Parts: sequence; structure tokens; C-alpha cells
Amino acid sequence: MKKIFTVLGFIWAAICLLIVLTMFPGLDSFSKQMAKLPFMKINPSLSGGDVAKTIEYESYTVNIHKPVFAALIGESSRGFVQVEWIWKDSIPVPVYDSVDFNMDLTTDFIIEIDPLNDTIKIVSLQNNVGEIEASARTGNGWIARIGLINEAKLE
Amino acid sequence: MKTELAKLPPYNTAGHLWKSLLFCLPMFLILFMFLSGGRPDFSDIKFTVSFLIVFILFNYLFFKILYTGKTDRYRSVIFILYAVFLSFIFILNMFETRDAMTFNSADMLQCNIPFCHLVISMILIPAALTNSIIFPGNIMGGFAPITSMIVIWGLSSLAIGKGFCSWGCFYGGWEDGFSRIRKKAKLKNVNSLFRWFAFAVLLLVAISSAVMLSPTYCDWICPFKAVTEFEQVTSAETLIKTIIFSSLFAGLVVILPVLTKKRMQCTTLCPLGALNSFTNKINAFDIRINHEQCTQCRNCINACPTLSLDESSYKTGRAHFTCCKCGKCVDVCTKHAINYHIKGVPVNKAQSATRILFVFSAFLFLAIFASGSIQMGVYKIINLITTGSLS
Amino acid sequence: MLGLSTGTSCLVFCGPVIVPYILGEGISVKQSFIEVMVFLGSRFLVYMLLGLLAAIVGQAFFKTELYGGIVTGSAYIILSVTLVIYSFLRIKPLCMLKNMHEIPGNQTDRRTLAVPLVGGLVTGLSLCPALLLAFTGAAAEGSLFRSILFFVLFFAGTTVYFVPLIFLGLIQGKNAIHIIGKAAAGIAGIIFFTKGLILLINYFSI
Repeated sequence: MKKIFTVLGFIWAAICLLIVLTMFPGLDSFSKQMAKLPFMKINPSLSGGDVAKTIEYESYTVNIHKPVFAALIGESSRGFVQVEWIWKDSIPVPVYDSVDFNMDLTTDFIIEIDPLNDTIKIVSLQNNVGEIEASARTGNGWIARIGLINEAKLE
Repeated sequence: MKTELAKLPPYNTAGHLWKSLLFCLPMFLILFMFLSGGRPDFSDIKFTVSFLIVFILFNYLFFKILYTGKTDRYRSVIFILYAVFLSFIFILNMFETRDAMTFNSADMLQCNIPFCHLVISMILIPAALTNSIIFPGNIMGGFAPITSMIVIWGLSSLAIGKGFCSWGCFYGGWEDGFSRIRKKAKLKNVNSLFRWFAFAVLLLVAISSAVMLSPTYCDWICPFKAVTEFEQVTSAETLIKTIIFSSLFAGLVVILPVLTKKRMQCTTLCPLGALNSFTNKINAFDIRINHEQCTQCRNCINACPTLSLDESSYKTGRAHFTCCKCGKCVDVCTKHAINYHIKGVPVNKAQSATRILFVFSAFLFLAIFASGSIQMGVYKIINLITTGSLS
Repeated sequence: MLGLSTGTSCLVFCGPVIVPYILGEGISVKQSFIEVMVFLGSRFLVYMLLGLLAAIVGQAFFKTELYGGIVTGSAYIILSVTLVIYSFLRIKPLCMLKNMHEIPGNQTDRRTLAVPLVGGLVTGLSLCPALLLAFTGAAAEGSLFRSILFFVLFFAGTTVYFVPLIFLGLIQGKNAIHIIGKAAAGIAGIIFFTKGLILLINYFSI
């Protein structure tokens, strides 16, 4: 019995060595397989969620994401909607946009971006739309996250 | 000469030059293949010199591990160099791309933050419940993508268990280095129960990260932001965060390791270290004490940097599951009573084969994992010497 | 229904306060029951008072900087002091670092209920998202009586999720669990102190 356990133990140890030997050559392949797993995507509260609508203007493109109410279980009562502006040219242009994020044909908020002074302002037009929670100037545009209240939770 | 031989541990390579060289040969060939990428290109003199320095150093250290029978003192050279050079390269890259060590909200919003293995302890519960990763990084591609780091951690945990903390973690080298500055500890007899504090931190950060859907350890606590990157100070909150991580780095990574000669951050704070302890349960290797040879002199208890040995270890004949397999206890034991061991094999049997199997696996992992950063760092230094610029 | 649907978020917000405490005490199921009841009782008391206050001054008060800054910030600091005293100053072994041999299961004969009491008060005051929704719901009710009834039922719905915590008392006898629980409570105290400090600094700097 002792001999069997000894042999099994050494086989186990040899497998450990094999794992180290194959780890780095196979890293690319293992990583690609891992990336296919269902949980291998960034949480929408950090990534901003999927893009719901893209609007092309002459000098820039606007990406409006789906509202995010991420919570550990179910949905949160508060969330945000992420909007991105990507300038087509290297020269940034001022932005004054009316945004309808939930496609109900009513304007939800108005965003004003002044790239020269690096400022961004919001005018909320609906009760469930709050203030700008986070915003940043990127290499060729702006990203903003606008706070929302989850109306579905209140009903 | 006889006294020197008597001091050597009972491994078949210890003190035997040709046996040691023979066992070094596979490492020599494998390292050459990995470090050169299989297609060596020595047209760039600086690259060739940096490659040779790293290659010769690694092989020399492995030879010394086999020939002297000592593990920890040679392992620690690469471990410490890895930590220092990785921070050096990382900070250099930050200054080249962003002109500062700080990241800003644009990096966060665009998910451009490099992933580090410490986050793994925080993403498990949210991954299970929300089917997503709560870290603003890259899934694939870029610097330190999420999938690669998880694969490396997962496979190395299977192979060497919590040995990852002594043979892989690119932060542990800082404390390992600081803990070796003094010859003797100023603060002695550190209570071994402090090792449970890291589990308390794991409990809290796992729960709070799941609640907040954000890695709270990285956000608030991680002391290694001091040697990598951190959030810009733009408010009272970010100022307090900066004070917290700076104080923790100064206290747990520098001051306490110098005074106690223990890896205090790893032992009392690191949540991944606590999680890795559980991987020791599914790993083939552990540390065992031979009761017949042990004289309970406490050398191993005093030497253990992670408080994984205490008086109860003499009764059970094994280190606690928080052992990170650094080999320090094995090196200091004058009776060679404490050794690496393969589960299932009787204690004190086949010690040479056991040691070779573990040390070969662990050293190979460390060498390959660390080679990129160390080689790049040496390259930059050569650049600095020859051209006056790091770029 | 609101309580039942949002109770899990209540558990995850309030859990970090009470869970480490119960683990750290190493107490029986019966004693855990008492601890959890004290915690819930003090939460209930706070909710009733908040409900009454909301009916008198209006729910808008709870969205002001004064409440968010001074009241919540101070409450966090009081809780943090309680947790730190409980975990770092009451643990005998950590006070006798050099002479540690064993940790007794029950720390003292006269047990204080300060932590669950203060924990319940503070978590009640801290306006988690579920409670904010409850305010909105209660405000929609016509009378004071109906508002308070709304809060009572909301509290009952969320309490269901705290029942499993009573059974944490089954995990006892392991010294490691006790130390982890106490250390976690102490660290949670430091976190609450930081949060409270930030709220107070933000209030006074505006």
C-alpha cells in the first residue's frame, strides 16, 4: 500500500512539473480558451455596458450605451448610462447634444462639452436622470456617465 | 573538508560537482529555449548582452541550489530582482506613456488598467453571481490581460500551490529583500497567530468587492500601488487612499520586515496569499518535519518568514497550510530534519528526488516568469550607460 | 414586497458589520440569536425614528449634505470605535503577544451587546439604497400611520434574509475562526472610520 501511494505521489509531482513546462508555451492558447468562458466579460458597471445606439454627425460620432443598473443580485435602484463622443478629426469641436437614451422619442438630457476649457455640463429633463457621475477626456473624445434612477424598481 | 561535507544536506547533488552539472543541463536547455523564444536573434548587441547576463545568472543560481543544497538564499536573488525590475519597468512605462505614475478616470472608464493577480481573490464571488469580471482591464491583449494572469495563477497553484507566493509573486520580493537587511531581528517572537489576519482581510475584501462590484483592496488598501501606479489625488477620498497605501507600504513592506525579518504584508494583509493557502491542500508538495531527527531547536520557527511554523508543527510534523515553500526552514535546520515532501510518500524517503522535482518546477516557473522584466530592466540600464537615456 | 425584493442588498450592506462579530465571538446558536435580534432591533428602532422624522420634516432632509455628512459620518466613526475596541483591545491574546498559548471560546462572562446595538443603529442610519427606495415608497402613502406601517412591513421583509446569520453560531470551537472574525471586525472598524472621515471632510470643505 505504501509503495502504491509513493508511486502515485511521484506521478502527481511529475504532473506538476509537466504543468510548469506547458504553461508558458500554451499560455496564448489557454488564454483564448478562457476568454470564451461566459463570465469572461467586464462588468457593465465598469465597462459602461453594451452600445445601444450610434449616431454619426459630420464632425463626431456619439455612442449611447444601454442603461446599467448592475448589482450583485438582481438590479440596483441606481445606475448610469454611458455616452461617448469620438471626434473624427484631430481638432475637437464643441458639442451640444440632446440625448434620448431609452429610445422613447423624448429627450432625456442635454449635454454640453467645451473642449477648449475641458468642461462638460448636463441639463436633466427627466425625473430619473441625475448628474454626471464620471467623465473624462480621452485621446480623441469624451466619455461621460450620467446617473439614473431605476424606475422599474420603484413600480 | 570533512566538516564541510558533514554540514551539507543529504541530497545526492549537494557537494557533487558533476551530478549538479548534469541536473543543471535540462534547466540550461529549457531556459535557453524560453528566454530566446526558440528563435535567438543576437543582432542587437544590447539585447544579446542583457540576454546573456540573465541567462548566466539564472543557470548559476540553479547550479548553486543543487550544489550547496541551499534553496532560499539563491531563490531570493531572482525573487528580489524580479520585484525591483518589474516596478522599474512599470514606472518607466507609466512616465513614457502618461508622464506620471498616476492613472486617471479616462483609463478607468476605458478599461485600460493592467490586471494583477491580487485581484483574483476579489473577482470570484461576483464572477459566480453576475457572470462578469469586476475589474476595468483587458480580457485579452494589451499589458497584463486578465485571462493570461488567471491562467498563470491557476496553473502555478496546481503545480506549486502557495509556492506561488515565494516563486512567482512579483511583489513579494520587496518584503523578502527588506527582511534580509538586518542580520538579527529587532522585534522577536512575533505571534504566529497574526497569520490569520490575512484571512480576515480576504473575508472583508471578498464581501465588499462583491457588494460594491469593484475591487476594494485595489481601491483602498494595496500597498504596492506605491511601486506601480495609483489614482490621481483630486479629492479628500483619493488623498486618504494615498495616505493609506503609502503608510501600509512603509509599515508592512519596509519597516516591519526590516525589524522582524518576516514578510509581514504577505502574512497579515495579502488576500491572495490567504486564498493561495487553500491551494496548498490540492498541491503535491509540502514541508514535513522528521520527528526522529528534529531536536526542536526552533531555528525553523524563527526563520519562517510567514509565521507558518510554531510549536504545534513539532507535534503534527508539518508546516501550517500558510507555508509558501520558500525553503528557508530547510536551509537553517542543522539536523536536516525539515524537508520538501511529496504527499503520499513516507517522510524522509526519496528526499533528493523530491527536492529536485519541486525545486526544478518552482525555479523554472520563477525564471520564465521573471525573465522578461529582468531582461528588459538590464537592457534599459545598458541603454542608460551607453547612450545616457533609458529609452 | 419591497423588503423581500431588496433584502439581499440589506444583508450584503449590513452583513460585514454583524458577520465578523458573530464569528469572532465563537458563540452558540442561541447566543447568536440574541446578538442578531439586538442588531435587528436597533435597526428597527432607527427605521421607525427615521420614518417619523421623514413624515415630519420631509424625506428631502435625508438627501441633504447635513445628513449625509455630519449624521452619517459621525455614526460611522462611532461604529468604528466600537468595532476597534471590541476586536483589537478586548482580545486577550493580542494584548499578550509573547505569551499566547490558547484562545478561550467565550471571551468574558459578562458579554456586552455594544457591537450589535451600535452596529444596528449605524447601519440603520446609513441610508442604503434599499432604505432610500423605502422612503420614496413611504412618502407615496397618504398618512403618517400608513407611512410607518410601510416601514414596519419593509423591515419585516428585509429581516427574513438575516435569519441565516443566527446559524453562524454553529461555527465554533476553531480558534482560527475566532481570530479571523475579530480581526475582520477590527478592520471593518477602520474602514468605517475612513468612510466617516471622508464624509465629514467633504461636508466641512463645502
